[in-house]
Amino acid sequence: MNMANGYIGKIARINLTTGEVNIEKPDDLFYRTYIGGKGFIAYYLLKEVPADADPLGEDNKLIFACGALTGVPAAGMPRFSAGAKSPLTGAFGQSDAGGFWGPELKKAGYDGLIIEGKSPTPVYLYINDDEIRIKDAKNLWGLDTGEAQEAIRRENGGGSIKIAQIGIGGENLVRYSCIINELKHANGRNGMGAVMGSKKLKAIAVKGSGKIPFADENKIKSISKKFLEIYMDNPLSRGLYEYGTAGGVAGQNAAGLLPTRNFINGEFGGANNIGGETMADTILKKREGCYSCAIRCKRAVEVQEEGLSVDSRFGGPEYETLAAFGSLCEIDDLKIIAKANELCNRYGLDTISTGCSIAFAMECTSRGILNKEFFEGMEVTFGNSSVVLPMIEKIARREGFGDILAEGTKAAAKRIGIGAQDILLTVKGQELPMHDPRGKTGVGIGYAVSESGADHMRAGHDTLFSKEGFSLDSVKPLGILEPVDVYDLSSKKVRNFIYLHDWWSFFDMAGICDFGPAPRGAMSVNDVVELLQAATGWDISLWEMMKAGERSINMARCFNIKAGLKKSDDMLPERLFAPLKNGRQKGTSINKDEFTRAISLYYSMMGWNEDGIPLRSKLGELNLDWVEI
Amino acid sequence: MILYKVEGGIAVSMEITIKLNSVLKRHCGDPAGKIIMKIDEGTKVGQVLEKIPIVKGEAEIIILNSKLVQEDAVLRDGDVIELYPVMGGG
Repeated sequence: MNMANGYIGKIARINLTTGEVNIEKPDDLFYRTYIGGKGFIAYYLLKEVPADADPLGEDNKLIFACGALTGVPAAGMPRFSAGAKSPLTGAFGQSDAGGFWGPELKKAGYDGLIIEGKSPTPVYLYINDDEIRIKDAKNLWGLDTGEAQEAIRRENGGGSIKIAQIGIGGENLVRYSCIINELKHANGRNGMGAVMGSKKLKAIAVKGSGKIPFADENKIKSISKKFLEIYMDNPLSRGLYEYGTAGGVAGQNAAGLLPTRNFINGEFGGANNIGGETMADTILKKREGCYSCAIRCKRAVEVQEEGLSVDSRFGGPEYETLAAFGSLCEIDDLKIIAKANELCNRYGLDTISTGCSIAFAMECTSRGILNKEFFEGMEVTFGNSSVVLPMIEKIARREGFGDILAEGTKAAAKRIGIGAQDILLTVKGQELPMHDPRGKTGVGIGYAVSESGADHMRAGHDTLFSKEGFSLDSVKPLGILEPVDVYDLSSKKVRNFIYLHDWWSFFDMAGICDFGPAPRGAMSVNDVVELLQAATGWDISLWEMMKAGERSINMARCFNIKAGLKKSDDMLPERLFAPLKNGRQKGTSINKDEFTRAISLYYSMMGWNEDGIPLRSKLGELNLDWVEI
Repeated sequence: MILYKVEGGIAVSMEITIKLNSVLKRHCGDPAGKIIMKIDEGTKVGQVLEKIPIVKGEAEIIILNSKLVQEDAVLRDGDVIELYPVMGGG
């Protein structure tokens, strides 16, 4: 079978224990079955990583995987996945990033990298087309990402070299440390930075001079041109351009669903001070984007004040970051939040889990579980913005109480003891993103069943499909034909979630940004299908793409079952079954019995047994007979 | 400020204020996003949404006099509607 276009056809396997580098050339069937990204990660974890492996041990493998569309010159196609067994959840770990690194890796001649073993001393990888070298990084260890990027570029002649790296957070094995490329694009969640740090791998610097082969470049051009003509008329794409994801703060607050005071409240009095419009009017320096994408949803912010400067090289805070350090901690100082974002990108920390860890600590203080003595004299209380930056420093360096918070809030709560576990807001050990499922139950299903712990990007949110209009229309090709209420937990909601989860899982396999196509962006479902056909030359259909997405979900599920996860791990934290305490949705909660029934229904619709284990017949249907559970 | 007049109105005419927020403001000549509209008695929020130049489905969050409502809410004289755009994750 001939190799498809769109891919390079090579995956590099690099063993940091032995220093060996091998190039593998999977066949077309492998590519068409597993597509890339999440699919490749699930394949290699199931095949090669013992389910009981220590996530920070030598047996874990760190996989970087592009997809069929990574690097296609169209909007929303810049992404790649990083995956491993997660040190935060102990489960299937996968986190995606945009930017320019993924396309550069393909131009250098690789669809993915499998990093094995553990180097005895700090190293970095230098990839320049056919040349893959493991280079000494002793002088880079301990540098922040900005310093390390400059040093690596200097050492390798500068130019267009693209660098994905860890900061001191990953070096110090903070369990929610991330991998950052170009200082501002993050494989943020699941602690992939700690896996990289455990292997003593500081960075992967890539320079590629090749061209990604596509089957029908004219077709790609025409789809891309069509997108450019329509995207500013699409309300969601237009909103992302104007205000970035930060634009969501005002609406979430107005709806009474802005996570506030550690998810106790849904409305924050200081929301207007931290939203996208205020950012645009004050600290915004410029709008930025990823490879070949016109939407330009990224922000670069700058602050130059005595005692507080924010460097625009590190980008700007997303909605998640604004809410995690802002409303969740009851802090309305945009400049402090911007600095917190910069520090997290300098040190390679996930802004969601870091903000959640600080809010968790604040609530521990408010309930008398922890005191000023524990926090070494700091007043770690809601609304006290002066503690945020010092706490980030302590977490990144694992100093004092920061060492406890660096383990993630689930482990921290266990260590702190009685009381702390009652206020825990995690699923499978991962801190909740900044969307309150009490007002959008499909997001709650996603948090609960997500293979990687609480994740807000497993499926398009309920709000997109609760009314007639452009966003509901955009997913009709998926078979989602009528509005479903945001609070609904019936079979209609579960079914919609399944279809949308398959769809976005395919995005995670193919290298597609959730903000490019429908339902969150302007590119139509059918244009995504045609783009994939044009890139690869396959006669692939929407049906086959959805089945591929379903396949990846089942593979990740199987890894988790082998790793010992149970039905009880598919559950939301108790706080979400209790009513919101303020705002326009005061009193709103999720009915736990209804939610539990919805999860059981989900298992059943997925072809899983009552414990959430895929039936052999389902695995067979997905061509996964080889998976043993 | 933009004034929309409903043609063929019945005897009683009322006036409401609509505030467009965030990216919805682009549909309005007023930088503050404010629209004053004359409506007939019995008009529902959904009918108002059809008369202002937004994309169908774009105004996800509807607040009437500070309370969340749906499109079937009936309007009264002097009402203030605040609209916020749809957001779906991210």
